[in-house]
Amino acid sequence: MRHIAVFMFVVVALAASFSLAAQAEEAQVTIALPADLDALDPHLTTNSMSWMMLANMFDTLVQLGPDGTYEPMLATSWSRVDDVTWRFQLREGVRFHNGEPFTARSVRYSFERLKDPELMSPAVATYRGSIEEIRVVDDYTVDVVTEQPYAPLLSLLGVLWIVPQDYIEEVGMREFARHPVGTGPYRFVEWRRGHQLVLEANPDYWAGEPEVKRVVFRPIPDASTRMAALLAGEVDIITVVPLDRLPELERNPNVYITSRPGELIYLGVNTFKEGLSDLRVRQALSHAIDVDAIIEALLMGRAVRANGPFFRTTPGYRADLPPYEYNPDKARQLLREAGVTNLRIELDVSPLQGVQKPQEVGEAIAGFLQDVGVQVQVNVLEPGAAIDKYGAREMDMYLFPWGSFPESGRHLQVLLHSEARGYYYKSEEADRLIDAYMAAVDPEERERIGRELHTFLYEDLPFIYMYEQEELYGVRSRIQWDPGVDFVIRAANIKLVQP
Amino acid sequence: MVSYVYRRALQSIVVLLGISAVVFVVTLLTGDPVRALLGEAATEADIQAYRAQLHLDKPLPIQYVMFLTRAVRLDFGDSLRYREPALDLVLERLPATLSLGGAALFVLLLFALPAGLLSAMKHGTLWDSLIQSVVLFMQSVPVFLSGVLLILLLGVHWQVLPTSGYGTLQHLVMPAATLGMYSAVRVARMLRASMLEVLDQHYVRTARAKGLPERAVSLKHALRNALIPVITLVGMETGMLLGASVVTETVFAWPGIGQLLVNAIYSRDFPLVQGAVLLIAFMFLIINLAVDLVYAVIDPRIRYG
Repeated sequence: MRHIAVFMFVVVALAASFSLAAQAEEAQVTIALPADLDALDPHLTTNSMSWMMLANMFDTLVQLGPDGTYEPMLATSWSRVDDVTWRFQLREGVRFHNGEPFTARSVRYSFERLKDPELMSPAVATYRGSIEEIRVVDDYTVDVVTEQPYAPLLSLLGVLWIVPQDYIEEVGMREFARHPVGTGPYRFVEWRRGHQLVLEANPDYWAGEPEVKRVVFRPIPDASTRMAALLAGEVDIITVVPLDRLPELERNPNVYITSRPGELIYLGVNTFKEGLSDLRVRQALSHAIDVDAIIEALLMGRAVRANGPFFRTTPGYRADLPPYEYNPDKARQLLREAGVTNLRIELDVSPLQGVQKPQEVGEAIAGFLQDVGVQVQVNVLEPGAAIDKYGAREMDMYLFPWGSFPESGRHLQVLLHSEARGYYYKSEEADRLIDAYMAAVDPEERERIGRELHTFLYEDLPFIYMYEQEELYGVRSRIQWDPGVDFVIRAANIKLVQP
Repeated sequence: MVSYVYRRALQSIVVLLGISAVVFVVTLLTGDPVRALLGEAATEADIQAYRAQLHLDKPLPIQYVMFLTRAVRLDFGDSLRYREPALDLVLERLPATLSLGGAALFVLLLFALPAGLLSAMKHGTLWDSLIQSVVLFMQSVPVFLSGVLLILLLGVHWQVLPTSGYGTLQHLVMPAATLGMYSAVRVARMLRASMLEVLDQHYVRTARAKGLPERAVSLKHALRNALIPVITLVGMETGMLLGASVVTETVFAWPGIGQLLVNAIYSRDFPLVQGAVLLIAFMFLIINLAVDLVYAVIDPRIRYG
C-alpha cells in the first residue's frame, strides 16, 4: 500500500512539474461560455450563443451601439426611400479574409443564400414577413425592400451576417462551414468541437487591427468549473456567473464583475384555461407574488422589476407604469370577486438558456400563490420537454425568458400576436396594436403606438410580469472590457491593461 | 476459438440492429427537434414547413424504413444542430473518450487490485478496516462533488493542474482520477468479497496444509479463481467509463462522447443520438467479447469451441 501511495504521489508531482504549458500569452484572451457553437456558418444557426462568437468573424450592415440605437458597420449610412424601401450606402474598400472584395453583391447574396432550400437555414423563420428582397443599385448601394412596412428592419440586418459569394460558390457549402471567411475583426484559425474555437486578429480590418491578437472560446458547461477556470487565470472572461458565488468573485482582487441588461423573465399564463381566463384572477396572481423579494433573495438583487412585456430599451416602454404591488389581501379579494375558490394550476419551469435559478424562482412563486389560496404544482422540465409542452399548448403557467433584440420589439409580435404564437393568448386589440407597432417605420409614431401597446398589455395581463435579469460576466483584471448592450462578445473591444 | 469469435460477431450485428430499432423509436417519441432549432422567432407555419423538409411529418414506419436503409450503410444522416454527418461527429470525439476511459481504467486497476487484495489478505485487521473506510467514503461522494473539490484544490488553490479542458496529459489527470476512483471502489469490494470466498475453499486449505507460504497461496491459487467475477465487473465498469462518463466530462469540460450525446438528447438531435448510442453499444459489445476471451486465459476450465 505504501508503494502505491508513493507512486500516486509521484504521478501527481510529475504532472505538476511539467510547467503549466497553457499559461496564456499576453495578447491572447480566452473566453469561457456554457456551450459550444453549433456551426461556423452563421447562416446555419439561430442560436445566440453561436452568434456571440461568430460575430467576431462576420460583420453585418449595422450594429447596436451603446445607447441602444443602430450604428454604421458595413453600411455607412441609410435612409428610407418609401414605406417599404430602405437604401444603404456601403463601406468601400472592405475585403473578406480571403481577399474577396465586399460589395453590394455580397449583401444580396447573403440574404438570398438564407432562402436557398438546399441550405435549410433555420434562420429562414427569422426573416418571414420582413425582407422581401435586396436589390443591387450599384457596387456600393443596396435597396432593402420589405414585404410590408417593417419597423424593426435594422435589428434584423444586425444579424444578417455578410458572407463571401465567390468563395462559397467556389468551395461549396460544407467547405465554407469548415473554413469560414468573413469581413470581421478576427479570422478563423481552428475549431475543435467541444474543446475550443481559436481566432486571430485580422490585420486588415477596416476599423483597424484589434489589440487582442488571439481569441480562444472554450465551452465549459459547468458553472463551478467556469468560475474555477477564471480564478485560476486560465480564462479571462466567463459568462453566466453563478449568482450564489458572486460575493466570492467580488472579493477577489484579480477579477471583476461587469454586466449588461439581460433576459426578460415572464410568467406566461394560459388565458384559455378556465379560471385563468378571468382578468381579475390574473390581476390577483400579479398582486400575490412578491417579485421584489424574489429579486433580493434569489437573484442577489441582480434584476430589475418589469412592468410589462417591454424591455427598458423596447420602443414605447413606459417607465412611469408602476409594477403590480405585492398585496396578498387584494389578491384574495380579487379571487373572491371572480368567484374562483379552488384554483389549481401547474407551473412549468425549466433551465432554459438564460434563466437564472428557474426552480428556486418557481418554488417561490408557488409559495406566494399558495399563500392566497391557489394550489400550485411546480414541474421542472428539461429544456426540450418544456419547449415541446409549450408548443403543444398544454401549459397552465410557465416561467420563460426572452432575450433577443429587445430594441426591436419583435418579441411582442412573436409571443403575443394571435397569428404568431397564439398558444395561450388572443386579443383583437393586442393584434391590432402589434400590427400597427411593427409597421410604424417612423420612430416617433412607433414610440407612440408602443406606449399604447405597453399600456394595454400592462392591463390585460397575458403574462404575469416578473423582471429583467442582469447578464453577468466575470473578467480578469488584466483586461478591460465592457459588454455594452449587445449579446455579442466583441473581442475587438477588449483592451489589455498594462501591469 | 476463431469460430467462437466469428459467431459472437454475427450475434453482435443482431444486437446492434435491435438497439438501433429501440433508439430510433425512443428518440422520435421523445419529441420534436424543430421548435428548438428555429429559435425564438419561429411561428407555427415555419415549424411545420421545416418538419416537412426533415420528413418528420411522414408516418413512423416509413421514417423507420428510411432510417434503416441509410443506417446499414453507416449513414445516420446529418446532425440537425451541427449540420455535419452524425457519425463523423461521434468518431471525432472518440480519442477524447478513449483516452479518458483508458486512463480511468488505469486508475481503477491501480487502486482496486491492491486495495481489494490487501483487504482480503489482511481480513479483519486494521488494514482491512482502513481500506474499507476509504472505499466506503469514496463510494459515497458523487463524481460532481469530488470533481469540483479536486478542481478547487489542485486547480485553483495550488494551481498544479489545469482546472478543466482537453489537450495535454495534465488535463487528463483530474478527470481520470475522479472517474477511475469512483468505479474502483466497486471493483475493490468485489475483489475482496471474491477473494474471501475463495480463501475459504478446500483447495486453498490444502495448499496451506502442504506448507506453501501464505503469499503464494493467495496470489497463485486463490487470486486466479477470485478474478472471474471481478473481470466481469471490470468489463462492465469499462463500458461505463467509456459510455456513461457524462458527469465527469461535464465537470471537467472534457469533449467526449457522453457530453455530445447528452446535448444531442437535449436538442432532440436524433441522427446524432442514434450515431452516439450505436457507437457506445458497439464499444460495450467489444468489451464483452474481450471479457469472455479473458476468462479462458485465466481459467483453463473455460473453453470456447
